[in-house]
Amino acid sequence: MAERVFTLPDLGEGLEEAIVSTWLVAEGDTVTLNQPFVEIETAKATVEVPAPFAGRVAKLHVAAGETLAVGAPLATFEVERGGDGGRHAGSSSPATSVRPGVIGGDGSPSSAPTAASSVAATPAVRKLAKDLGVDLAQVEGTGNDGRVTPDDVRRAVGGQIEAVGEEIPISPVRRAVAERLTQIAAIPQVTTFRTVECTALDAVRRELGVSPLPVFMRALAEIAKDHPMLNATWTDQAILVHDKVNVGVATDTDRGLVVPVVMDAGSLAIREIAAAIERLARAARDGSLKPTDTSGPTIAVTNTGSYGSEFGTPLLNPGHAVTIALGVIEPRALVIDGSVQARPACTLSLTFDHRVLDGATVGRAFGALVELLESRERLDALPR
Amino acid sequence: MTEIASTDAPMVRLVAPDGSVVGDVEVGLSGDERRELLRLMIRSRRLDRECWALQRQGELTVYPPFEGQEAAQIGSAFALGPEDFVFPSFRELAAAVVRGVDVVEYLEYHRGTWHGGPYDPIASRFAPICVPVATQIVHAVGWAMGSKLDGSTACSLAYFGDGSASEGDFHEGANLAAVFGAPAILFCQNNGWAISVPSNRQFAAPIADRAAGYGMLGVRVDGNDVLAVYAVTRDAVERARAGEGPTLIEAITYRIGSHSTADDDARYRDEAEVAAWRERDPIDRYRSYLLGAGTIDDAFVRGCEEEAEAWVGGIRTELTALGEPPATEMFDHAFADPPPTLLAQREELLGDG
Amino acid sequence: MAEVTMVAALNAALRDALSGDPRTLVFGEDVGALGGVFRVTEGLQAEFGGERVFDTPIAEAGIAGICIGLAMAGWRPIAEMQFDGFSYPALDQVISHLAKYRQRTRGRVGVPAVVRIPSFGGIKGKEHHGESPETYYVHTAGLKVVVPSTPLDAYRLLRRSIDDPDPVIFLEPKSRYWSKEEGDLTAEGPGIGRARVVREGGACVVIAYGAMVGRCLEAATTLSADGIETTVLDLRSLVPLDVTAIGDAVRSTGRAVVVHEAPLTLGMGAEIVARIVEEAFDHLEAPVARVTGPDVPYPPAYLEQRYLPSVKRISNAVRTVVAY
Repeated sequence: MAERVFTLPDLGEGLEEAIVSTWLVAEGDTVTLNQPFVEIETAKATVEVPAPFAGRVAKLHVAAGETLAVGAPLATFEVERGGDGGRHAGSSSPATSVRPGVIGGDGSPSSAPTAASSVAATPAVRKLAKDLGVDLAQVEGTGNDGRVTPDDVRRAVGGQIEAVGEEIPISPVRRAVAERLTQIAAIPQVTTFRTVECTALDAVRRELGVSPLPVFMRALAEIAKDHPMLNATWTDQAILVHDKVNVGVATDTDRGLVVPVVMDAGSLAIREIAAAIERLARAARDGSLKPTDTSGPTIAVTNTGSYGSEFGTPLLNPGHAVTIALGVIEPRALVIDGSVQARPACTLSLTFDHRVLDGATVGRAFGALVELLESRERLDALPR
Repeated sequence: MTEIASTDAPMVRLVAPDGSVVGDVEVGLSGDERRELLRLMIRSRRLDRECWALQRQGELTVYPPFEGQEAAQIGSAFALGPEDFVFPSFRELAAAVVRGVDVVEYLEYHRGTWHGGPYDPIASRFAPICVPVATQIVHAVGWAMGSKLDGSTACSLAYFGDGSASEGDFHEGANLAAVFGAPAILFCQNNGWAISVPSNRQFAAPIADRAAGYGMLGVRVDGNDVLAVYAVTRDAVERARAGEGPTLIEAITYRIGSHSTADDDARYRDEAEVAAWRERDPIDRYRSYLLGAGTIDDAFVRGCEEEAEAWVGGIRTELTALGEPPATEMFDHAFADPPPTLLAQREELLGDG
Repeated sequence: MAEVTMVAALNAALRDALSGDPRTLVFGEDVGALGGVFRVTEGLQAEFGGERVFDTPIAEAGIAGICIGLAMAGWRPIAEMQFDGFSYPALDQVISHLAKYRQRTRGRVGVPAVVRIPSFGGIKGKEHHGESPETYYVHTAGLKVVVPSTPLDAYRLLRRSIDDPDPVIFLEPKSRYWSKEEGDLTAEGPGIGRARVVREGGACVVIAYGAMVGRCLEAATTLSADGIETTVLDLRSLVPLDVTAIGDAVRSTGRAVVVHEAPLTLGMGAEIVARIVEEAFDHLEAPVARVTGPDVPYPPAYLEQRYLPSVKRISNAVRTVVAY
């Protein structure tokens, strides 16, 4: 036996409720299909409803004289299982995905109006402002009726942006880099500078037949062992101090800046680091860097000296607490033992995330790095 | 007996309400065909009552019963050939049964799973259910004009009620049919009521009398006498096939039930009147006649009733299983060649596919 | 190449359709012996016989209604309503049946009929002879609505409408019936649902159909003298509406004016402005202007030209939009 619940149908084209006037059967009665079983009084007429099933009346859900809503249970029947296969489902209800303003639908309400919508400007000008990142509410309108004109918007960006020369389209990589740099600019970062006397560094690197960069990177990795906060990352939950020093090397390509990574530089010999840099630089130029080549950096280095920069203010990458720019190594006038001498020297520019490091900690680490780089003995002790 | 307009005007009748023969019942039907007429009337009445119950059980939205009009519909539809075309209004389920329309598909209209053309009209030679009353008369005339242009002998038959005869489209359709000599049969089931308005407030002269005004033949027939209905319709069909043009038939019958399941006829008519018309029931009288003539016996009647019971049970099972049609159908059939803007709306409302 | 009037072009289209497809029929009031009150069906009955080209009694509902029966019997009806103002008795058959039959029958039975209606004003006609009924038909889902503005387009659009499997309401701008155009009637051209750029100009697009296209071209000439170059877009069909062409024109000019004879409220202008907002919002430099008849019943002959969009009103609207 199966139970079937019969709900009150709409008996009169849009009725919402009806009164159960008279029950013609009692609970426990056995009924045949279409046997008259209840009289229902609607706003229009009193109507006799025939039993929708053959079986036993298990329950009458409402007493005579009571009002019932259309669709509410009227009576429950016990019927023979099987026979009535039940309804085939129609199609599943259609997904509604609707653009507001065309047919309408239950999309989420539009965002609250900003001050910009109370500014008078045509749709074309609004789009221009949005594309250029200009807040219309800050722009004074010089058009008819005080409307903001396209020129007003362009002036607000800063400088005349008139297309008097070439227009360079922005590649997706460049756009992505630009977005990332904008995020980076929000990090509180400070740059500090030290000058390194490079006689030792220069000699060692010539002996090894490599550029100063791999020597520098190996020295940095060594110092990070004693000064682990150089190799850390700020997150909202905690400051993560990394075991391995993975050095990201900022590399310029046709498509923009990429930062391939020399993994675990602290476990590599100088020549190995040099080889890695070489391989990564080639792959970066070819555009064949793999995602594994650019993931996992913990500290960054940028060889700005290679294009002649003395010192600068390198920007941090999100995820690093420190980035160091290696300036050009060239003869400088240094004061050695009280007299001015010409010596090979360079300036290191170290930018640090001030949320992770303070000036004193950086100063100690930086000092140790410079000491290492200026000491022939200690450079010789680094694995070659 | 209350006065319903034009009940007393002369009409063709072959079998009286008590089943006795009052005219020439030799109408060209074989014994099997005579029995078939009764079988059709018995099963269609059983179906009509089942549909009423189905509505009360919430399986149909609104249903307009035809009880009392079985002879008018079945007798006339039976006189048509397979090439002829019927243009119904909304109460001609019995005629649909005669023409072989799929009943479950027909009832989709009353269930609300589709509009009035859920069955194949061309295959069934039965146009979609038509609710704007009398508009189908013009369609039938157009079809008949088309048939005539093809040199075919096929004719059309439009069913409409006494109320429809007041509409402008009745007039335009009748006039066009007569002017063009269209092989169309305009079949009015004057069942005494147009919802709550009795026929003596619907018109002031018998509907059949209008025919002369249009220049076509008009016939009044006892709509509850299935053999008489058959005979006059067959005559009209023969005239149409012979190129003699349209006929207007007014079949006097009675709507035993309410206008529909949404109507309460107790508000506007006497139970006594309904009772009086039950005395003229088309099935009772025809059964009596056949039994008297020895064409059938009680076993045959019982057999028809049992068969009708089983048939209707199957229809109930199939009908109650019908669910919501795919929403895409709303868009798919509006045009043969839809505008791109409509296709865009379809995608928005329904997503892809 | 000879010049042809719109009447002659329509006549040729009907003739070619009748001879090309033996199932086509042409009927309506006075279309037979008289050849139609505008002579559009002249000579057709003589050529094709009284069974295929025939007069009907005065029965607009009947004329529209028999299209359904004829279509079900396998014919292609081309019905004529004598005037726009007299098409209204047929609205029930058009709206309740012509438009809905295909959907009602789940795609099994369509009504490939054309209902031709001499429409719009500008001929100093009496009351009921200058109506713009297009909104009623455009708003009735299931119908196509086509409005030619030139003789050559009248030919090709009528031929395409007759061949279309869906019911088409074909509105003929009667004030242009005697306009002339040079060209080859049977040359290929865009079909139903495609608008046509009749004139190009960068300052603004003027969107119109029917008789107003000519007025917009006149306005464009006036404006050109002042250095304002306008694009004129002839819609050619209202259903399907060429939303892409409208969008393209507005995207390239940033400014639009819509012109129609029909009264302002819920005229085609309202629909077109909505479509422009959907398609080209970010490109709008000014609000879209509508130049239309006012919301009054069509006036008597003496006031007709005060009601209809004039060249001056159209030009002024363009100037305002350009100066915004």
